[in-house]
Amino acid sequence: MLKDLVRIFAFCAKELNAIRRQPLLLVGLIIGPFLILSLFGVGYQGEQPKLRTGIVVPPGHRDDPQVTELIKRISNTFVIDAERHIYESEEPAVAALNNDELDLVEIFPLEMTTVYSTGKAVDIRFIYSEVDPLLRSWIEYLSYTQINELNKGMLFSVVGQSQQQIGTLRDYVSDARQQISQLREQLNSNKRDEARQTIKTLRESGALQLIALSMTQNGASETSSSTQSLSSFQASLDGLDRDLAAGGTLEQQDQKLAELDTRLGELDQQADRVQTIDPAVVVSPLRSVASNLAPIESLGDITKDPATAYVRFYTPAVLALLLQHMMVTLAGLSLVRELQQGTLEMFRVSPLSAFQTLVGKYASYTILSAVIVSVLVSLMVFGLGVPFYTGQLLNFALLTFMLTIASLGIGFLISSVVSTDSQAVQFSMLVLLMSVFFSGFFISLKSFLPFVQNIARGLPVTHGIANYQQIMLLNRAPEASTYIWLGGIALVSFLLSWLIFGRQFQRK
Amino acid sequence: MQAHAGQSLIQLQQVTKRFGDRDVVRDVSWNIQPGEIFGIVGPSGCGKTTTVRLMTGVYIPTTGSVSVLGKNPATFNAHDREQLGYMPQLFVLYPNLNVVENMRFAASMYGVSLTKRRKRIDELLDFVELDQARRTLAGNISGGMQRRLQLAAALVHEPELLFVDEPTAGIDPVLRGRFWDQFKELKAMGKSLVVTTQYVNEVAYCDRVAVMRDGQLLLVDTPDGLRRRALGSDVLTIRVDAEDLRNAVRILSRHQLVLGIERPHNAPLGSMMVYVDDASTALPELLAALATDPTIDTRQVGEYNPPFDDIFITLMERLEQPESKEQINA
Repeated sequence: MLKDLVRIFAFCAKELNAIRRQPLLLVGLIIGPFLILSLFGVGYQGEQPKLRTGIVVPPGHRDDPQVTELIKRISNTFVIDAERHIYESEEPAVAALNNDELDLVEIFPLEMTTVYSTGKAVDIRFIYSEVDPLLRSWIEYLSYTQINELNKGMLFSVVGQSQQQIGTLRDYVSDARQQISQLREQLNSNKRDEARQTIKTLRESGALQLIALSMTQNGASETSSSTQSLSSFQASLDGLDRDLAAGGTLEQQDQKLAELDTRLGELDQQADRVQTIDPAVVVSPLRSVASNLAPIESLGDITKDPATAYVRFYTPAVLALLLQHMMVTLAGLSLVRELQQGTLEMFRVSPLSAFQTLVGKYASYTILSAVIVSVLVSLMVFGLGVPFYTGQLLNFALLTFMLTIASLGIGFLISSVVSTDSQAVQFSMLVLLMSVFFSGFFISLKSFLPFVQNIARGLPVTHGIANYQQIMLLNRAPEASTYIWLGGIALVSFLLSWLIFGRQFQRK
Repeated sequence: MQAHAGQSLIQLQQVTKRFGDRDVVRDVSWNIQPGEIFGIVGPSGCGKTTTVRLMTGVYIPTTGSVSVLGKNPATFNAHDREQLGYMPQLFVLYPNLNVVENMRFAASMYGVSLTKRRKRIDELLDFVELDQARRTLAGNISGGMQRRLQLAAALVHEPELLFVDEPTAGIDPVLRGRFWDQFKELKAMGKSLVVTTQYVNEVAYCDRVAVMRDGQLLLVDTPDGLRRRALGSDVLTIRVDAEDLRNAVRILSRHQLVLGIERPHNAPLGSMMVYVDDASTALPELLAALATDPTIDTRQVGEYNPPFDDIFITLMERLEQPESKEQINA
């Protein structure tokens, strides 16, 4: 038993000494990722690239104040060199795009100034030349939001004008109500001649017609009750005038006048409400207010310091990816090197077994992993300000251990099936490439079909990224399923490696 | 584990090892006794290394049987394997570890405890004269030093039986001699050694030698036995004064122990080669016979020991002739 342990630990000293003798490797393993993250923190702007944009305006409108205002409004998201990249025709702008002087050309047609008078929507064209699907989506999204903003701006202006017109309407309503009030008093006092004179003034002033017209222009339906009352009251005024002249009863007429006054009062109230509404509310009556329940205080304020937030967010993922890649590569090269170097022949003659060789190598690389992760995390926490909750230390250690042995399992599996170290490196790089795409490092797992998500879960780093983030950023312990997955990967890969390496180890 | 008294340490019986459709080793049989240095000699590719691998249990014979230390090596357990030491043909230790670290690894591989290993490593590094280089990386020491390190690593667990595969290939003659001195010391310590070599003259250091060619065992004999097989008998060289040569030849050719006399080429005047059955018996009697003629001035006598290269070439040439093969093997 003691001899078995001595044999297993033969590899610890051997592997650790071999790595200790490679200072460049150690620098690469520890300082490399720290420098990369530091550079990322220093250099990342925290936002999408600004697009160099050329603007094509209708001929002769280069210096139009409206164009100047338009460019000013879209300059928040587009970089526009007003001296060089305002064009009056499409060709030179597209040529600049093709010469990579511009990322985007935006063409404003003359018709956009007459859109309300013609009643036809106008196309604003965006021309770009981009292969990158992410950048393509970004350009199309920006174009969409820009047009939305322009539309809102135009709508805002129209609403402002309408509110001014409503002010005039209310003046008409006020005049009309004053005269109706006067008319009712005259009727009640049986001052028929004066009443007829007021009717004449009311007719001649045209206030009721103007009210009806204003309402129609401002979008009120011609079938609305107020408009209908106004129309019928025109007829009623004529009837009243006739009754006054003929000396008939006036009770019914007074009732109609009271009704009209009420209608005009309602109209005035409605107009008042419309006039006092903020045009911005009319244009954008709904706003989105999102609440994130995740406790992301540890990331810092992403709006004020996006670089820090991004560095803190990506650090656990980088750690997981680096740890997996390091372990896969070291283990991947390990067995095949013994085979190539000829030491396997020495092992076969010796009492060493395939099991002891594998377990010894697992032990040595696990120790190496613990040392490297400790140093790296210290650098990240004290150098980059990445959060680390001391209460999660045990969970962190357990997750690191499980991630390490699962990654080593994949590495040893690679090493047991390949026949040269260049093949081992190649396969390790494939695992890395797969990890970058499918682990949730850059692209969320939710973006993939369920069967691809399950394949991704076969990569230790998928669990490493999610749970390092959970531990380091959210102060939460990993789910039990994490350990089941990692344990499963570790066990299956170990058994397969043992089986295959054991066959190589066997006496022939 | 020891072979029982009177039992061979290693026994090969009609062993054949086939890879694909090619017999790399064919129908090899021998017994190796405890405490002897057993050499396996033959040209490159003759099957020496494969035979060693069969004896260490790395390979399993296609047909025939192998017994080492009284057991089939393919069924060795860890304890059995601790009795074997193995120095492979190539340097297979770790170039990025220093000499002592490589030794520690070898010791751990055989389960040598931490308490025992330090003294043992010191002794061995002294034995193979690598003490001064103990902190040097194995990749930075010379080829000869690497071989010695490999030998020390094979001995670190004090094996009873040591397999050494071409230890002297590609190294200078002085160092080769030193290796053989070390093997003799090991033999003196009671170890048994199986050593392969392509250098025919090294068979002189062995107790017994197996000669192999094309995967076949040609013969097994002691170095003297090989010489006798090549020359057909023992040979004495006798030199007399040139003027006395005729008389000396006359006397010796009549002597009953003399099988024949030859005048060697490129030898000093008065020299002759005298073929006898047994040199040790014949020499005093022939000197006495020459002394019967006081006029003969005998200047030099001795046993003729041609280089083993010559012996090997002679044996090979004779083996080319089918009728000679039976004679040699007889």
